[in-house]
Amino acid sequence: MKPRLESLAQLLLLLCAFLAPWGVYEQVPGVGLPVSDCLRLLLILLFLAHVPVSRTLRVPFEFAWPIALPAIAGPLLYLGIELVASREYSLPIPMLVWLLETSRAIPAGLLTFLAVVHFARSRELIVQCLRLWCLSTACVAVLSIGASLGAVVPTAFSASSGAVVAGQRSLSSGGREFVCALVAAVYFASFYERTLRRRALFVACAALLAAGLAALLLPSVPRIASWRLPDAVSHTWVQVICIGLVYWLMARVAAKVEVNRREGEPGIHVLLLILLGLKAVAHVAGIGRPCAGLQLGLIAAYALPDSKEPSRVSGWHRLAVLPFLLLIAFNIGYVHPGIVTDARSYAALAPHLIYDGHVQRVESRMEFFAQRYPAERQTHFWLGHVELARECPYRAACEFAEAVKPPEDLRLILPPPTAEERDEFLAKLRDHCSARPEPASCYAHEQALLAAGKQRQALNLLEMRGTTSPPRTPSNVRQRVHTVAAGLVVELLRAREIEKDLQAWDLDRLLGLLEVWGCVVQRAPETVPRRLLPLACVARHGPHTQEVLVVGALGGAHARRATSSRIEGVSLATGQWSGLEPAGSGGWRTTLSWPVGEGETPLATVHIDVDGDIEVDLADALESGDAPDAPAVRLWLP
Amino acid sequence: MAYTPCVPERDEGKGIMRDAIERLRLERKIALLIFVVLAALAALMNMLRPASERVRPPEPETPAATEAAA
Repeated sequence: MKPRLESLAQLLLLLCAFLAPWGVYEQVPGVGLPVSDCLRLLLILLFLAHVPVSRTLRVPFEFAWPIALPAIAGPLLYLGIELVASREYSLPIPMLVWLLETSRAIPAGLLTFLAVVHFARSRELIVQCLRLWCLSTACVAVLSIGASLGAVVPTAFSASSGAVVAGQRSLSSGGREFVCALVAAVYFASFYERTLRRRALFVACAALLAAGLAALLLPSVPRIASWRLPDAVSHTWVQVICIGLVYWLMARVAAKVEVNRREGEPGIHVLLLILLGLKAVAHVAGIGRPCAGLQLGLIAAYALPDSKEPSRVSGWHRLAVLPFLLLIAFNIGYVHPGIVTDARSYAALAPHLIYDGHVQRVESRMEFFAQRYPAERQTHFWLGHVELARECPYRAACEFAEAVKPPEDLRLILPPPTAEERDEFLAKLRDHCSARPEPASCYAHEQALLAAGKQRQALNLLEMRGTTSPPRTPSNVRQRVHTVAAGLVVELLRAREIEKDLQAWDLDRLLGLLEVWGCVVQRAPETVPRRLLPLACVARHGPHTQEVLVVGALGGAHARRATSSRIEGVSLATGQWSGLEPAGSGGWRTTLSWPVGEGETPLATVHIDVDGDIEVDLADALESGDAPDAPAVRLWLP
Repeated sequence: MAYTPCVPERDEGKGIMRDAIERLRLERKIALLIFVVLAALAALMNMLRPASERVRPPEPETPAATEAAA
């Protein structure tokens, strides 16, 4: 039984080393539990079973005491403090909670360390583990290159710099893994491997890892000047003691390896020292944990004098990697929508973040995915929520309209919003519009209803809202004005499908509706030729666009300008079109002004010449300023 | 043939033990050096790192600030 246990444990070590760099891809689909955690737990259980069966603990005292001390004294000390502080000598529930909370971190890592040192008695096995880890990290580097080229969905990213990584849960852990594996690959290729084939293999690995590292770091190069160390974190005294003990353990392991190296033993001592040094530097700089239990355990086991047995993992045992390869291949293509630990499931955390007020964080995350994957619908859906949280109902309705469009690409990362989610959003938008000082003037809810295909409901609301305006147009031009007014309502609601329904509306009712919405409806100056009238100018701003629309009796014009980045600042005020003024060339012009900085800047100018030709000039003043949320509309009647 | 008693010139058991103790001493010395450097570096870097907003204590509200706000 003992040899079987040992060979199983060594196989587990090999599998853990293989799975170490895969991060998100080695999770159980739909659950989010890493498979390597299950394997480590199995390894710890094997260790706890093997020690009483074999009656030996192969961990030297100098490695065991820094682990035994916090494992035994820590909970006892904590319990004592709790009891003294609370003066209630009852069941130690806080201690159990504390143990459960920290069970994934320090105790699990230290127990893994013990199990690895106990079982990894073969230097051959340890070198096999390091080789396998190096190869699988090179595969992750290939995926990372694919992620930076847009072929693979990144699992960690920086929305500001655009740096991405695949597999790893954070950019810093990706960078650390690539650097460590690159050093190992270079070492194996240069100093350790004897056959040409293996050397060539590790040279290729090193090249891939260097390329993966470059793909990760290059987007951040322009931002190096603004880089700063991560924020300091305050530690409790228990954490300080634990970190101190782990440092001592690392120092002790490094010292053992160094003494072996000084004694001239053949092996990979230099590589192990470099790896330990890299881990220590990363932790000191605050960009990594002190050292994972598996890696530190393998390095410690290599330094022990009795670790010269042959490996018990034979050739066919290595086939055990295959099911995990299949799992990884499946996870590369599949994203479960509800796993919060997977950054690809970008919408999983959004409701919580918005609820907690982290609107900017949600926006940058959604914007990152929306730019890389324009077909995604959930990005626009949550950007709509963001706009709603910022009290911008028109922009929210625009985003919602994008979110409910039928998907063009069937290979979406996340499924489009469900009917319940859409209804929930519509209810939120309705409540928001109703809570405004002038609820009738906001038509974003109707706009969203029409986008969602709820035409009947939207028309009923419009009919309820519209008031009849007093007749202001001569009867001979009523039909012309009706056509322009109906076209204007259609354009404002972005819904061509209700054009026929609006034809049945009375003109005064249409004009009444436009006035309720805040449009300026007035007679044009007498000097303007009647054949050019009616004329309507609309200016509206989406998250990425400035748009001016002219609807007139002789035709219309449409100018649209995409901004270089998302217009972040939003003003709740509305812009105003100036009155029609004579232009120098004999035509007329109207200007939309908007306060930018201390003065007023023209955002758009519409020129109408005597022949009815319309020209629109759009300014780029909004690149750094606030944009109005509500459209500015003016209608000139004959 | 003359009898020659087999007397070892050096007690091998004690020698091995002595070597092991020497080795352990050297290990401990190196480990202590590494630990001190590591701990000092960690403390220094932690001082250099900017304080997190989470751990920054809230600024006390002074009467002057309240008046200015009013």
